[in-house]
Amino acid sequence: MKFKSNFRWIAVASLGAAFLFGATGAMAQTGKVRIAVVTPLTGPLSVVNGPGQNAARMLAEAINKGELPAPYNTGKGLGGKEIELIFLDENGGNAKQVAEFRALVERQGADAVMGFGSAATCVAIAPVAEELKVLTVMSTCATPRIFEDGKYEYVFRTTGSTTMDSVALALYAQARMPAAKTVGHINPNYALGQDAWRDFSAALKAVKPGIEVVAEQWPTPGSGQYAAEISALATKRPDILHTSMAGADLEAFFTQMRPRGLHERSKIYAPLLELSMHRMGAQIPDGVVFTARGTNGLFAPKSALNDWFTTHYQSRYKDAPVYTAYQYTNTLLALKAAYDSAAKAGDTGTPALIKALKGRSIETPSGTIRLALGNGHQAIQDMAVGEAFFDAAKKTVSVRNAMRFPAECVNPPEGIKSEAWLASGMAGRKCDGIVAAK
Amino acid sequence: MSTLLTILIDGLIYGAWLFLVAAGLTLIFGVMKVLNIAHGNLYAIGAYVAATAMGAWFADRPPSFAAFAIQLGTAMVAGVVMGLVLERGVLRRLRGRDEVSLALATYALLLVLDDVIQFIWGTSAYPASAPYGLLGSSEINDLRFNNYEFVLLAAAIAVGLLLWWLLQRTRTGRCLAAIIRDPEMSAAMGIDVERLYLATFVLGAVLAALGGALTAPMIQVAPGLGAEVIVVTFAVIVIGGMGSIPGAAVGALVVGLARAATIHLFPFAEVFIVYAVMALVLAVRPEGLFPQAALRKI
Repeated sequence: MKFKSNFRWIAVASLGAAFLFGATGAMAQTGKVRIAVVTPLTGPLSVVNGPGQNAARMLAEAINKGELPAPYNTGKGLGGKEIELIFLDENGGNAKQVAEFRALVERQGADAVMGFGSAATCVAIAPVAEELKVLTVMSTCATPRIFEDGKYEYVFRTTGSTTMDSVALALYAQARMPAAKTVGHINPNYALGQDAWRDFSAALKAVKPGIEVVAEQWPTPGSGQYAAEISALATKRPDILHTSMAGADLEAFFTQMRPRGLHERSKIYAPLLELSMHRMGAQIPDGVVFTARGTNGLFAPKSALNDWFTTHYQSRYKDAPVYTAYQYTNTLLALKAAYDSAAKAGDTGTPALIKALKGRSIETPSGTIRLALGNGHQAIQDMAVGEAFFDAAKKTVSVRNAMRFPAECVNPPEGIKSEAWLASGMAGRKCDGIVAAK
Repeated sequence: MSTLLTILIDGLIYGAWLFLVAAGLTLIFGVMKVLNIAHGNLYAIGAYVAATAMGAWFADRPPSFAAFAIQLGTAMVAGVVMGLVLERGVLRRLRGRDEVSLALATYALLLVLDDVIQFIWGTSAYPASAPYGLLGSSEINDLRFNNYEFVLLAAAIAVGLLLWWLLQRTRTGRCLAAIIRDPEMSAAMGIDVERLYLATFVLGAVLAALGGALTAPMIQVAPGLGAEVIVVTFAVIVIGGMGSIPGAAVGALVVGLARAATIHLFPFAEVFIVYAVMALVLAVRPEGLFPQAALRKI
């Protein structure tokens, strides 16, 4: 009996100590900036977000060591404080994400949250971040709905929306394929695929009013078998073939369609090709039109910052950085700029950080990004489009016939929703300064 | 007419792939009464092992017909190893339990194997395209078809014939038929039921791994592979009748043709056509097209 009673007290004391350790463990992290990176660590989206996670780790280490080049050679850490990244798996549905976001902020004490590879997660998390008053900077998800359907003070996004891709591709088609009369598509049957086709077809009809849609295919995401779709598209032979498939789906589609010559019958527009480009190498069909969600990757302007970034990334990860790597990097650089600025003013609390970030222009490896929409919370940047090809001499994927579009040419004006802007024929777009890059 | 011919070819190719994946699942259920929800992971492991082996072999060599030997070899090895581990390590210990408990156990295996796959191969995608272009292409109906896809069709026919021969023309097949009818009586008559259960599960695992190994050159082997295939595989064996090999073949063919027709004629319906066919079949024949005969014990 006495043993049982003693055991009970020992158990209670142990639990109490564990609780105290846990609580004080979280509180003992003063002096560090705890940034939670919510990103698909498992599941189908993990392949395309992996480069972003790698870039985040690399940037955090460089920031902590004070090794960034100008204009970020401002000392170690964020406003002098060391970064601690905490990675959380975004895979598993919205309900799980919302619950874990709350737990993350309320119990683990995250100072800021970044990442988010899925549009659905972003839409679900934004109001929760606002409710919990935690600084949340979305790096990758690209639905335009975040700041068009809601007003947020604590939520930012340092990447452009899918609208940019669609408008730039349409303008590219207008410039490079004036004789094109028919268009078809194969897009995965979920939100991203439907939005991408809706936006691209609206933008294309605005700049080429006589274009006719002759083929539509809506494969289930992840199906992996596209023989019948390829037959159906090859039969219809559209001049332009649009696909917003990404990652393993796109790679399977290209693997299966290349021997069947579909790219010889139709010019393929694949805005998300860049995520798979270097992995596929010589397997990419020649001349596929692609973007990099801005001026990232092969489209990035020459700068000391980009040289530093690409050299260090390739040296560490033995791979060229794709646009998700740039996106996670841009978020951390935005936080660095905001923290340093707020620290100079003597206050790095969340309201001060928000004030430092709102409407800011940020220098990044992909050029300048400006938080110019969504009341200073949504980034815009110039957009580039080009044709991918495999350079046999250099044994690497390269780009030709590139065009660069100013940010105000491919984004709706402040206060106008993307869908309405596209339906209006992209009224008010400012396209002075389109250049044929390279 | 030309559209019909294209639908037929596309339907046969897709149906062949479905049968390759579903044959093992329905064999295991038919003999052991185990609904192996982890079957998709066995398919994925077959694909990953084949892709890894081909990546290593062809790193500095041009593509050659050795790729086919690698596919077959890796499927055998992966299937045998995983079959032995899962049957001896898990299922044997749950022998005699009800079917729901066994299904839950295989669901747990699915979750564990998902993480094991990720632990071993990470989140990268693995290309395995070495054999895909080796056989060239054929022009049919003004369309170019990759001859590798006809290899899938040939493999599915070969697997079907092999299983028919095994179950109908061998002593082992007669023993399996007896076990299906009554495992206890079969054991009493001297049939080594445990050994045949093990052999059946290993064969089912090898067939799943073979499906993955043959599919690997057509795709990029990446996370989520098993989960995508298991759902449509279940639909095929439900349509055909659970536990029936001829049913799996007919179910795969019906689904393949229905999907191909939808893609060519009503593409917006692709997302639900498989389940619409399943619902239609179950509404008319709830036990599937070729159900196993239900025994009456007196």
